[in-house]
Amino acid sequence: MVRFIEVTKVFPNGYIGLENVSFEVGPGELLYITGESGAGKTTLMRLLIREFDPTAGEIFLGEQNILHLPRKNVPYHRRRIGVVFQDYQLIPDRTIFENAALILEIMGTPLKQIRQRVADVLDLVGLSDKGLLFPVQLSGGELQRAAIARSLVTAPELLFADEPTGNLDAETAHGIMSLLKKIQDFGTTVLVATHDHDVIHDFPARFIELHQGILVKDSQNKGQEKDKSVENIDKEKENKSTKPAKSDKSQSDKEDKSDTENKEESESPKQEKNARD
Amino acid sequence: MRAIKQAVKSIRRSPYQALSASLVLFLTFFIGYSLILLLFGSAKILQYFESRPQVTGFFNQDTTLEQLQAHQTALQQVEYVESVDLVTQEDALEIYRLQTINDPTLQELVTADILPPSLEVSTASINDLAKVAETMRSMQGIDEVVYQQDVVDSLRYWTDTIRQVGIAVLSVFVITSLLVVILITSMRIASKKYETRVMRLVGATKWYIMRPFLVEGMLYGLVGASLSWGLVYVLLMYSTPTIQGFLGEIKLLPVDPIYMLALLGAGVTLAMLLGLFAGLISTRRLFRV
Repeated sequence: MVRFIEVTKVFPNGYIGLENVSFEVGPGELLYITGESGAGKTTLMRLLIREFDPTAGEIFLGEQNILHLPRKNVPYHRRRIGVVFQDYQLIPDRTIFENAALILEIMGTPLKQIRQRVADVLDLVGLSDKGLLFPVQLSGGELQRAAIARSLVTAPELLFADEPTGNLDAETAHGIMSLLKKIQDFGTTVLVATHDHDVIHDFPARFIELHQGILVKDSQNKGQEKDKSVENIDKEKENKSTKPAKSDKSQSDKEDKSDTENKEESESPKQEKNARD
Repeated sequence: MRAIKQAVKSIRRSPYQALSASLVLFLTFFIGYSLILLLFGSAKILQYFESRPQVTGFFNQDTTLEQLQAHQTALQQVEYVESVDLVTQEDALEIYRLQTINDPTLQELVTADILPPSLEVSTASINDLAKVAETMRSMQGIDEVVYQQDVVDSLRYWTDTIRQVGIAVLSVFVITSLLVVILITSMRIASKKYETRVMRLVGATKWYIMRPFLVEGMLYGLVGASLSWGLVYVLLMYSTPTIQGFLGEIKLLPVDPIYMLALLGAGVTLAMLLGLFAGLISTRRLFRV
């Protein structure tokens, strides 16, 4: 369903977001992407929706190499993936119903169908009575549910939830994860980026672990985990930081020219840090 | 349809911005329509004078009828003269009476012997008027020669001046309108930056995001151009009797409604294109399409 093949992302100032990351997720699978803040979980999501392009490697969604998509087709690609953003990304002056209906509206779905679909997903996430409220009137857990509802409204093949339990108390987090598990049970491939180990413990599934942009563990590959330990990576990174990273620089220069949108969105180190988070 | 709804919603939420954009377009098109009607009218008046080239020679009151007839015959022999009409003192009195039919006091004061006899000479071309005037000035008993070349020259001068000043003023207003619509659309886009970003992240095309802003610019144009046309038409209809009374036999008013509708169509199209262009500039700049 999703394949990352030796994907590297170096930001224009040489900061490495992901380094040589390869993994595969099958249809209907639930996969946790874990790692500390700044490990590259969100970068992975942003690469998947082609918010920016990788410096090297290939990314497949189904049989489609998404890097071969012309820029004008990227919006259509994004409609195939339901994304639950870490900060929800709900439009404040639209009601929950309108927020959930947004993608269908963009797709030009008839109004009657929009009403039906949105009502269904709001019912699924338990917000059927909150459709007319604005985001500011909802709690954190409800906002998260609203974001999930919006991501589900097109019945996407793939759902990527970025830190869906990050700002929530344990009980609400459990509720959200139950919901994501239910969605997976319907046959949707679900990727959950999280650093919350309780979630993985309560809803066990395959996980991959990122550390400073490097994939250090894939729970599926028992006994054949990568020989790079976290300590080794830290040491390597320290050594690298004392030497000028020539190749990184040239790569980033190349990227500067090829990806203007990327340049626009990753100008400051602070933004890059956010992207990696 | 969605784009129109979004644009109307946006206008309703910030009515003062929308009002200022529509007003500046209203002013621009009010000047535009007025200028077009003025130039159209001037052209018609010029055409009227140019199609009736005439020289009028006024003679002293003591000039005899025989002398006048001799002058008439002499002029009729000239090849570029089309016709020569003799207006005797009695004819002049009759014309005067007709013109002052509503004022008997004025009629009582004037008698035939104080009015000058005259010869009205028409030529095929307005360019021959000067030669006829020169010939008439050398005639015995001539008092004054009046010919339309003066009127035409004067009219042409004023028409040219109005055209030049009008176009200059109109250009300034068109540029101002364009800048105001660009500014207001840019403000709208800036205030919706977050919404725009979310839309792009969930799969909206740039065209989908741009459309409401473009429609909004076109709506400003539509409202501004339609309202200014309405006002110009009302003012024109209101002042028609006065202007027509002043113009006399030059049939200029009322303006044909078909012409006014064509003017509305052209104005609205131009205004909407102006709004669209302004919207495109601001959205292109902000989205870096």
